[in-house]
Parts: sequence; structure tokens; C-alpha cells
Amino acid sequence: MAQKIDLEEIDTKIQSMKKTAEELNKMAESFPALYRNSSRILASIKMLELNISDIMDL
Amino acid sequence: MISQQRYWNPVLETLPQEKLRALQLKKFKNIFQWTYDHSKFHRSLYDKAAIKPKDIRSFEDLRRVPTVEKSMMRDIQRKDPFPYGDALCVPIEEVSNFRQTSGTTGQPVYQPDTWQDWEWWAECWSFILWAQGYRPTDRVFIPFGYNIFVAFWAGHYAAEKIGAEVVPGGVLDTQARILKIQELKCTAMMATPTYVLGMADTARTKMGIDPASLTINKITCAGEPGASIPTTKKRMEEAWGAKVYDHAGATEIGAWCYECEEQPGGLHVNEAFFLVEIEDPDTAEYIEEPGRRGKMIITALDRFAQPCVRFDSKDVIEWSTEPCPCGRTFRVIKGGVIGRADDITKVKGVLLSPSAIEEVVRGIDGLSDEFEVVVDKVGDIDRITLKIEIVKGREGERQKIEGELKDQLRLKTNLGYVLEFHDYGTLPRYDVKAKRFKDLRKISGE
Repeated sequence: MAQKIDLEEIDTKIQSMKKTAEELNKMAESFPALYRNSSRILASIKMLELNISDIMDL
Repeated sequence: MISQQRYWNPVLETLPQEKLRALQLKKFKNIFQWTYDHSKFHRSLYDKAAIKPKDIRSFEDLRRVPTVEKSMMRDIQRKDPFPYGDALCVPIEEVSNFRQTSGTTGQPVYQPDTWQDWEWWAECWSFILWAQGYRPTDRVFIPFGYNIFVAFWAGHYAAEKIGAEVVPGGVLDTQARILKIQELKCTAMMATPTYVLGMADTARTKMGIDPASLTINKITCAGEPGASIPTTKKRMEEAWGAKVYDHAGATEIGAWCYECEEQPGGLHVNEAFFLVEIEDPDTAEYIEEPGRRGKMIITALDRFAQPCVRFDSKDVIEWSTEPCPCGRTFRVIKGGVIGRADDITKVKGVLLSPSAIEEVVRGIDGLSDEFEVVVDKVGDIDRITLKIEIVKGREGERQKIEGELKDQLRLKTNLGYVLEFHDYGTLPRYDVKAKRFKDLRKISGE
């Protein structure tokens, strides 16, 4: 049976991930590994936004 | 099971058309504001047209936004911030990927991408590959010379992203590639139509291997229109015993449309990521209705380092009248990209402009003004013959001239040629317009 897609719940979790990744990114001024990896995670989160979050207000 | 899902994105790919239009308008406003705020080049263009981000409230408004052509991008490059010039919208240190156009119409255009843009490239290709049946169980062979051209790079990253196993066939020669496909029992492949047919020919004639006996069951093509040309598609499918799919993309745009497993005789435009408009090339009238050809104006809605906003691609397309049975709501362009609004043609997967050849020939001291280019096929492989003359009295320098000509042609057009030297005065002369470029592939129905 197909799983129901709860877009609102998915978007809430995406925004939560984004907030966490942004916070890590801001804490990384003297920590290259943390900065680059959190930057890459933010790029991936952007893809989640393109796939889901962008349609939430339509 | 994820692998049984038909769509890469079951929400976007089935979104009703009115919602897709709303999404496109919202995204266009966003990318236009970004571009206006961050690109000096674009801002100047828009200021001259007296249009600002706040003016965009509808599709009618956005059609007032000036289009950008490749020649304009060429003009601003190799300036600060080097080498991209002032269309760059991010600090240079955020650029993680360099690619360039093939440069056959003049100077190549350099394309910077941030890591986010590169993720976006792979995302665009993930829509393509999933729609064409690629799944995590696939072992994908990519017989592609990984280089400064974007071509199958994004296909490689997308295949990884969807969970497939990638075998990069970069510097191997054709026979070694075929043996590797055979050894590893690869199930999918990406290549230009010319090369798909060329590989099949090599397998049969030089190795005694029937390519259909190999395990490739799907092939994704790019770089040439062949996979949207029914006779060529049929040849490829019969040779390999595989389904062959087309897609279209460009360095400065992205991978914007794709064929699905239903093979509906056209390509779906990814309307969640791109805004495609069709315009009458003569009157600039906007074409909404299916079945009427025009040139494409395209916006990549989510690409930020060097945005692609209302880019005049010169591609000729038309909307299909028929919906696709796959259920995707993304509209279909009938027959793929039908041609180009100018005279540029693709040879061996590379865009070739007769003017680029002219530029080379006329730059070689010792060659006469006259030349002729003939493109035909030997078997399934494109061949370009360049006929030239050495001016009288310079015949003794032929070796030197030939070397220089070969080098310049390779450098400026990225293609190899058969050079035919004719006696001075024997090539046709013209009184008005010259017909120096003969594409015999078109005459033979290709």
C-alpha cells in the first residue's frame, strides 16, 4: 500500500535540518572540516527545498 | 519499494499545470531579483529596458524582460572577476566547478557553478535517469572523455545520486570499453548517438561481438538529436537490444528536458525547474498553443552562480498536442529539439558553425580564400571533409600549412577533419552568396 505523503510534516523537518546546518555553519569559522561539510549539507537541503518546500505556499 | 516508484518526485511531476505555472512565476520573481541584485551585467541590461523586479507580477510582465544571447555572455567574460566577468553572482571563492561551451561559434562561454548549482545539475539529471528506468540495481557505464565540457558529468553524478553503480569509462579506447561492459555486465550506458552506433560497429566488425548480446538494457543519449530521430533511435535499439532515450541540455542552461519510459515521441520539459517559452523567430510573438514551431527562450529557475534568465537558446521546438501516458504533467515538446534557429549544426556531438571554420582558414597564411566543408557519414560516424587550396607559389609549404591548419581547427572547433588539398583555382567561386557548407547527412534523410 502506498505511503501517504505528508508534505507539511516533511517540510517542517527540512526546515529543522536547515536551521541546524546553518547553526553548525556559523560555528565553523575556525574549523574547515565543519564549515565545508555543513556547507555541502546546506546544498543538499536546498535540493530538498526545491523538491518539496517550494510548493508549500502555492 | 523505492525502486518500483514511477516518479523521481511524485509531487512535482504530477503537479497540475496551474500549480506549475504558479511555481514558475514565483521562482522567476526570485531568480530575477537575485540576478538584478548580484549581476552587474544583467542589472545594466534590465535598467536599459526600464524593468525592475517589482514590475514582475505576471507572465505578461516577465516577457518584457530582455533576452540574453550567447554572444552577450561571450563579450563580458575573461574580465574581472577573472575569468567569468560581471555576470558572476557569487564570490569567486564559492565557485567549485568550471565548465565551458564548445566554442564553435567563437570564443567559448565559461560557466561557473557553486556546489549548490552542481547539486542542482545532478538533481535535474536524477529526474531524467529515474524517468528512463535507472534504478539502484543498475551498473552504469559512461564511455565519455571527462573534460572541460559538461556533457555526461552531471549524468555521472546523478547516477550516483539515485543509487546506481557508476563505471567511468574515461580514457579507455572503444574496444577496451566494450570489453569492460562485457566483463562487468553493465546494464546502462550514456553516450552520443554517433558513439552509440560507432561502438556497436566496432564490436561487430573488429571484435566479433554482437552488442545486443551484451547486458546493456537502456541507453541515454545527449549531444546530438539522434535519439529523437526515429530511424536513428531504431538503429541504436536494434544494435544494442536496448531502449534508447533522449534528453536535452546545455552548459549555460542545464538539463532541461527528458524522454520517459513511454517514449511518447517527445521530451518532457522539467517545468518545476525551468521556464520554457516559445517565440516566433520573426515576430517575437509568444506561442502558447501546441503544434506551432518557434525558438525557445528558457530560464533556469534555480541556478544562481551565473544565472540563465530568458536565454535565447536558438533551439527550435514545439509543444505536443498529446499528453503523455506516463502521467507526468510536465508538458512534452514534440520530436525533441527540432533544430536551431541559426545555421549551427552538430557533428560528432559538437556544435559546429561554418563561420568558425572560415575564421580558421582565413587566419592561415598560405591558404586561398576559398574552401568547402562537406559533412557526411561513414557507416554511422560523422565525417567532415575540408577542401582547401594553397595559394600559388606556396605549394612547397604544404606540410607546415597543414600542421597549422589541423592544430587551429582542433583548437577552435574541437573536431578532427579530413583535409583535401586542391589545386589553386579549382574550388567553386561564387558571385553573391557562397555555399561552402554541405551537410550530406540531411540530404540522406538524417
